[in-house]
Amino acid sequence: MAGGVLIAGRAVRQGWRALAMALAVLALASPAPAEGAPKPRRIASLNVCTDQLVLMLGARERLVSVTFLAADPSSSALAEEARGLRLNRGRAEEILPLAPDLVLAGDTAATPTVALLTRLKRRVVVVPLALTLADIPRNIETLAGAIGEEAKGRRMIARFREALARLIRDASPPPGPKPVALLVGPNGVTSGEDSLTGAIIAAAGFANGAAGLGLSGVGRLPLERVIGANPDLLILSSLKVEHPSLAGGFIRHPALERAFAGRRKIRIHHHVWACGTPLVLGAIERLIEARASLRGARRAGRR
Amino acid sequence: MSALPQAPAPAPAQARAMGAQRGLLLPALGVLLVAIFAVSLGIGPAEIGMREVWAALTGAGTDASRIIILEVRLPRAILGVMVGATLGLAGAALQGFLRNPLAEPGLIGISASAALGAVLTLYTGIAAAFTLALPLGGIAGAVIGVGLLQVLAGRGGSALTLILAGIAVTAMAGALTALVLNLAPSPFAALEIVFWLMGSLADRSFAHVWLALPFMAVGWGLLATLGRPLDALTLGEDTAWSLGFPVGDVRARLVLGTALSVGAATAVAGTIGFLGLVVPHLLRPFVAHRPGALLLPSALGGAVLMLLADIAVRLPFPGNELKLGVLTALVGGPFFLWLIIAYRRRLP
Repeated sequence: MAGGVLIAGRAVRQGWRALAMALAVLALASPAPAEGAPKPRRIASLNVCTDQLVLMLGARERLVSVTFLAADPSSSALAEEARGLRLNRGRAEEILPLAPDLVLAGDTAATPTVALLTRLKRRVVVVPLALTLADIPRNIETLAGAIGEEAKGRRMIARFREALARLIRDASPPPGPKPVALLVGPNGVTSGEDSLTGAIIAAAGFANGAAGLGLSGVGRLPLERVIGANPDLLILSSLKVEHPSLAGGFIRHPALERAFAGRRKIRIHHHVWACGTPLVLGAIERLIEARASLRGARRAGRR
Repeated sequence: MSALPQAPAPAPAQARAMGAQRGLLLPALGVLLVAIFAVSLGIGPAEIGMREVWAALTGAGTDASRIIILEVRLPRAILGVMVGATLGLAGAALQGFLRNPLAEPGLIGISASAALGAVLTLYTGIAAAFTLALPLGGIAGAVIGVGLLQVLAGRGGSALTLILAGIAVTAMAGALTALVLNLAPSPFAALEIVFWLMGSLADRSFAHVWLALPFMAVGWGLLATLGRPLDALTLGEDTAWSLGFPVGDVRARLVLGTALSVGAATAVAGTIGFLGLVVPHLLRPFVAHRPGALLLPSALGGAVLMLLADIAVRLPFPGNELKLGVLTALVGGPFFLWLIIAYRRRLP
């Protein structure tokens, strides 16, 4: 039960998620079908991240429902693939009539639904939110095991680990202080070191500007602090399809544009790194490129 | 052309005392406004000392502090003055015209309908395609809100009828605002109801100042012409008419001026309640209860109070500020209750 202990340990660290985590432990502890047992044929997914992982593992034809977010290009990288599937909003009433033999859920939302479905003796597997790069292979393994695609899962994990190692090796971080990157999204939301986006920024060889502003997890930064922080690279996390909102106005505020005019900025779509999938490699690659050009610009400036 | 209308003249001694008091009131409010405006520029999550604020204003200082002061805090303070002046002025004008101490754009539903208009244009993307749509939406909402009030409360309705009609309009507009935000495609929209119901000046920019200012200025101009008609109306509608101020004409200017200024203010800062209620009451004793003389002091006083409120929302949790409506309701709510109690005593 090493996995259980690990998850329980995290539940202590993150008090508010304790309930969902306990459910996850229960789900993981329930006897998983042995390899070779009949694969679940009617999979319902209640979380945009499990939606995408199932699609990536090539089990689209066995999905009876995915979340409405899966088909929304601003939240999902696989919106095209999700089109045509039945969409749900995480309600038990939507799921039960579909008679799924496996329900996949995340640990943040739809918790009452998960509790209800578990009580009704549905097989529920909770895949926790990935908070580190190491969580990604672990989640793929959990999910691939649950849907009976162990071999595909192992291949995906091997490819992910290999690509990640290659990216980090080729990036060859130079000696000396790391450049500082600060991420801001709609509403001034930023990611500190204790988050998946934070781990991605760190893997690309940046120091996270949010740490200097006293933030370790996901939090909000006031506009003034973003401008005052003066990072080497500003990462704008934006939605691919932007619908008008006040929140989106934050990253278009004239003060932000003025403060970072003519300086390094990079825009990474939220859906690329919102979920722990192999797609995050693309974000790491783009950040490493940005770091290299930052160094080039600095050297040119010195000459 | 009849003889030039004369405002009802107070007794000479009273007039002199009043003149002295009034003469002091405006400069005092002006000095207070300038001082609080300066303090407002010095407050925010980025710690910038007053000396550095001055340096930034005069074009010196670091790039970061200059941008923070000139592009974040300055538009915020200017917008605070504009919105506060609008609410104070509109409150004084409405109280004077309706001869109702409880009238105020927030309470009688004008702000809520303006917010609905602004929300409709912003979240449907109309404002993104055509920038002026945002203030125009707010103004259109305000006009519809006033229209509904006229239908519900009617001409010459009692003070209570107007407040009840205002509650109905506010409830309907609030519900429709929530509906629009829930249906809006943006994942952030549903949470932004707090901004529209409670109001805020956080992270506003000069874009908002320029967007709202022309409409507000025209609105202020219209409301400012109401000074003498409002004084005349204290003598009754017939007397006012005989003095050259037909009530219909006065009402048209009041409605248009309020809709333009409050509509544009709400479109950029959300609904901010109670300010327009409190300010005229605080200042009325200084102008010998003359509604016409109350207009300009109320505009200045509204600006002062708005800046004070906007400073107060930033102090307790830097970087995670309160919404303005939280504060104005905390102060204005008990004041409103006290007014109702006082008003009831005067009724038979």
